[in-house]
Amino acid sequence: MDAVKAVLKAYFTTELIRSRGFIFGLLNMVLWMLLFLAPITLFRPPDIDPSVISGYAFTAILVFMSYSVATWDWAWELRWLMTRGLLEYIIASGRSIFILYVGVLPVSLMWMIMALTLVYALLSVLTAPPAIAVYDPVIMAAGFTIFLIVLFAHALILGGTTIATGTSGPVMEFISWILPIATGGLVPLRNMPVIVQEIALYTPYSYPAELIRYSILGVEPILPLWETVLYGSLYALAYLIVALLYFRMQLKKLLREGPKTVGMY
Amino acid sequence: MGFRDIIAAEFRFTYADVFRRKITLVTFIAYPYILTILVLLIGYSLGSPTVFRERVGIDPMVFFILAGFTIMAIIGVGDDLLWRPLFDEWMGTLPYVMASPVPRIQHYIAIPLPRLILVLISGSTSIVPVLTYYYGLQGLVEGLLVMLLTGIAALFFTTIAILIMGIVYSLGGENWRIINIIRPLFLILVGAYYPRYLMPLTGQVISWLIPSSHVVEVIHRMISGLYSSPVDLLVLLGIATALFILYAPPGVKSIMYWEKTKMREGVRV
Repeated sequence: MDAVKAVLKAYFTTELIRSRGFIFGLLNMVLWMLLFLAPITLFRPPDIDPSVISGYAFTAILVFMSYSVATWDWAWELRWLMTRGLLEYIIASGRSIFILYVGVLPVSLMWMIMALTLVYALLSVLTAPPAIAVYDPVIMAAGFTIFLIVLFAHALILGGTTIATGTSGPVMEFISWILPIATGGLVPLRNMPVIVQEIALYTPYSYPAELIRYSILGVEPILPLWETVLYGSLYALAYLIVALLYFRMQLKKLLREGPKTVGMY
Repeated sequence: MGFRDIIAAEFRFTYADVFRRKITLVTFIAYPYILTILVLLIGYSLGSPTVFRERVGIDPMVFFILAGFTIMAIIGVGDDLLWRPLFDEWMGTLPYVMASPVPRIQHYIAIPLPRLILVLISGSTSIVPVLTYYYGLQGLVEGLLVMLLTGIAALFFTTIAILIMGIVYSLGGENWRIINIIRPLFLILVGAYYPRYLMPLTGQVISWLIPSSHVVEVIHRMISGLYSSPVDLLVLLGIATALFILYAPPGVKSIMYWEKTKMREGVRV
């Protein structure tokens, strides 16, 4: 626990306090959001309620940002540690790398809450306040719990690949972009082509996204609700087990072969 | 060491890395498509492509594949220049760069070229097939023209990027964080994802100061046919060239100032 607190304190200071990191980070986030949100407003027909459009966009960004946290705050953190030559020290300390993940989590959550507040404000200015509400708190809790498990597994797969290759490998690039898009992370599955729906249901990512959308937008999942919860939970746990095994395998390989050199890209 | 030797060295350095980590190469090809799918999926699920076509004058698929490609080229040049000093500092190689007899300006001009050429070639797998599919033979010609114009847009970004790089790193400390603001701001104002002619007036005025934004507008107007004669497009290219040249002298000075600052303060490793 002391190690977790130390990590939290260090990251809180580095990311939010030192050198106006909080302000720069926040501005950076707003601008990136603006880059992708602004062109989306060009699709909006004048006769559709803009707050519904905003609600969909807000949920898509919530899901996408969660993947970003898993990718850049957790998995990419290992690459950062390699760049600074710190990973060896953490391994030599005998502590688990996951202490780092737990310590970083509150900072990431703070960021996400602030970013989502900003996104809400931006959408309100650009189109209209997003039409979101809590339609089903139980499903909402289930959706977010399953989502967290999937994200952790996602970070382990990407982190494992990073320490194995020393750069953002194929898995890193493609999982982090294509999967959230192709598995219904951004758009309700019922609005996607049938082939994409089928592929999405073969991945653990689609289920929590469908549950979250149902709970805050009221959009029905393509599978019956409780089947979505059941399959989503089982799939998330199976994914977590596979990810843990993969990560351990890569860590053992790292200990056997030594850390890789880090590329700029 | 002449400029050609520096360029050759930079090419060898970059391509060795790219071909060793082949995924970097794959991502050059995949990124325009990934970014297009991202925006289109959200856009189509929230609205209508017809509405987009009426507002912008270009089919959304064509527009966003162009946007992804041009952004990849421009951000590539920007990233190579804006992050390289920091990367060198973190990796502990900056003292060697500083100690080398290579002229700094020539070095920084050479840095983005290898990756830019790779990105431009990757256009043959994104914009050329998409434009050919949509517009036939004319699309093929326009695709090749877009590749050329994107190369110009990215090259025209070098002097302004060098100027900013010199200023930001001369400030020292952790002021490099400013780059995190400047980078997405440029990407918005360059107008690849949101046409400059649809921006509010303030946005248009600031965008006008970025040389690459004029070239991006040429690309948009050429594809949508929003020009009365080729002279309109040549005027925009002329403005871009003038701005590119205008930023060169202060850019050189800012690099020299940064170098002096580093020599005075020493490099932290």
